[in-house]
Amino acid sequence: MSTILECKNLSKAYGKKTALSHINLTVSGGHIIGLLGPNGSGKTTLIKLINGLLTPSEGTLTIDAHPIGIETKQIVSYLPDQSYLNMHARVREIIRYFKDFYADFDENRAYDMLAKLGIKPDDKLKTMSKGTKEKVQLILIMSRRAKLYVLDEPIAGVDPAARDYILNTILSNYDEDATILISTHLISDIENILDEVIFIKEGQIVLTSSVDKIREEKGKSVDSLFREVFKC
Amino acid sequence: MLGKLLKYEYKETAKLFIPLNAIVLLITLLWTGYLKISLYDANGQGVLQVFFILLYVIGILALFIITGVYLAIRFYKTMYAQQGYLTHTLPVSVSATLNSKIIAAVSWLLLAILVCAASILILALGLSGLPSSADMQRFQEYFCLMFGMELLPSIGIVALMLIGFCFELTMMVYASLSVGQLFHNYRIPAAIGAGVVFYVIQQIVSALSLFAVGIGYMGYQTVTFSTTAPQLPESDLYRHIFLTTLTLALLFSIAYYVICHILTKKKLNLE
Repeated sequence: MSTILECKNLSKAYGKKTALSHINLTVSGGHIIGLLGPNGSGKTTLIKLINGLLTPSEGTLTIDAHPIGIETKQIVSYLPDQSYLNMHARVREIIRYFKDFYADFDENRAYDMLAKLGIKPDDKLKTMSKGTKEKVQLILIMSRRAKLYVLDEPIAGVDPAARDYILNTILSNYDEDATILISTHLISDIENILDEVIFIKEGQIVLTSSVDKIREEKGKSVDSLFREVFKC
Repeated sequence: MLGKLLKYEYKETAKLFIPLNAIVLLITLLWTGYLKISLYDANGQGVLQVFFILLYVIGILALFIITGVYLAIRFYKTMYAQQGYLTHTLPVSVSATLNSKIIAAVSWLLLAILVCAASILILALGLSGLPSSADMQRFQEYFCLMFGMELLPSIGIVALMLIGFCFELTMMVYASLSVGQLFHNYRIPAAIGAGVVFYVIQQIVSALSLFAVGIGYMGYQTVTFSTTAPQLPESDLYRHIFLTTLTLALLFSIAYYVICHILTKKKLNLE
C-alpha cells in the first residue's frame, strides 16, 4: 500500500508551549490506526495539522504526497472532537451542503444510516440530544468515500450502546483501501478493530506498531501496554 | 466553488437581513402614511408623532448596528471559532472562502444604505410631494457646483465612494479578527486592539493625503494668482478629495485583504 500520511520533523508550538516536537511518521494506506495517548499528549494537535486547521511551526506534512490544501481536503474526511455544524440547520440542509462541496459524498448512504437510527432529516440539530448530534456528525463523515478518515475522539462522551453503534458504523462504511485514523484514550473499546497503533506522549511518538506484533512480541493487549507506557 | 459558497452565505445571512430591512421600510411607510393623515388632522399630532420619530431613529440605528455586528460575529464564528472546523476543511481555496464572505457582507451593507436612502426619499416625497422641475434644476446645479460634472456622473462618484467605504470597513473588521485569532487567549480584545491600530493608521494616512491635496490646490491658486491663468474652480478641489478618498479606500481594502489572506492561509490557529 502507498503512503497516505507522512510527517517529517513536524513540530507545533503554542507560544512557549510545545505541543508536538519533531515528529517523523509514515502511515501506509488501507489500515485502521489508533492514535493513542493521554489527554494533552498532542493527538488533537496532530489531527488539526492533518486537516489544515493549524499550521506547523516547523517541518512538513503530506497526505497522499500532497501538501495540505485543496487536494488533501478532497480526500480527507474529518470528525472533530466537538460540534462544528450550524445548530440551527436541519439535517437535510447539512446533507445538501456536504453533497455540494464534497464530490465523494454519498447522499443515499447518509439517508440510509439516518433511517436506521430513526433520525428525521427535517429535524434541526439544536433540538437533538448530544449523542444524536454526534451520530449525525459521524454519519456525515462516514458517508464520504474518502481515502483517509480522521476521527478525533469519536467515542468519548457517549454511552456504551452508542459506542457500539459508532464503531459498527465506522467498520461497515469505509472502503477497504481507505485508511482510518482514530484518536482516543479509551483503548479497550476500540482495540479489537485496530490494525496498528501510534502511541503519542508529550508531543512525541513513542511507539508505532501493528496490534498483532504487540500481542505476539510483548504478550500483552494494547490496553495493557498503554497503561504501562503511560503510567502516571 | 465561489458560487456555492456565496449561495450558502446569502442563504444564511438573508434569514436576518431581509426581515430587518423590510421592517425599516415598513416603519417608513407607516410613518409616511401617518404624516399624510395628520396633515388633515391637527389633533393627530403629538404623542404618535414622537412615537414614530423614535421608532424610525431606532429602526435606522438598529439596521446599521445589527448589520455590522452580525457580519463581524458571523465572520469570526465561521472562520475562527467552532464552525471554522467545517469552513476550513471544505475543499476550497482561502481566496474563495474570503471572497464569498466579503461579497456577501458588502452587499448587505450596501442594501442597508440603499434602504436608508430610499426611506428618507419616501418620507421626503410623502411630505412634500414630487419635486418641481425648478427644484430638480437647483439640485442639478448643486451637484455641478460640488463635482464639476452632471448629475448622473456625480451620483456615480457617490455610489463608488459608498462601495469603497463598505469594502474598506468590511476588510478592516475582517483583518482585525484575523489578527485576533493569532492569540492563544483574549482573541476578541486582541482583535479590537488590532482594529484600533488599523483605524488610527488609516486616519493618519487619510489626513496626510487630503492635506497634500489641499496644499496642492492652494499652491496652484497662489502660483497662478499673479498671472493671467484661469483659477481652478472649487469643484476641482472637491473632485480631487473624492478621488483621493476613493483611492485610499481601495488601497486600504487591498492591504486588509492581503493581511486576511496571509493570516488565514499561513497562520490559521483554530483551537
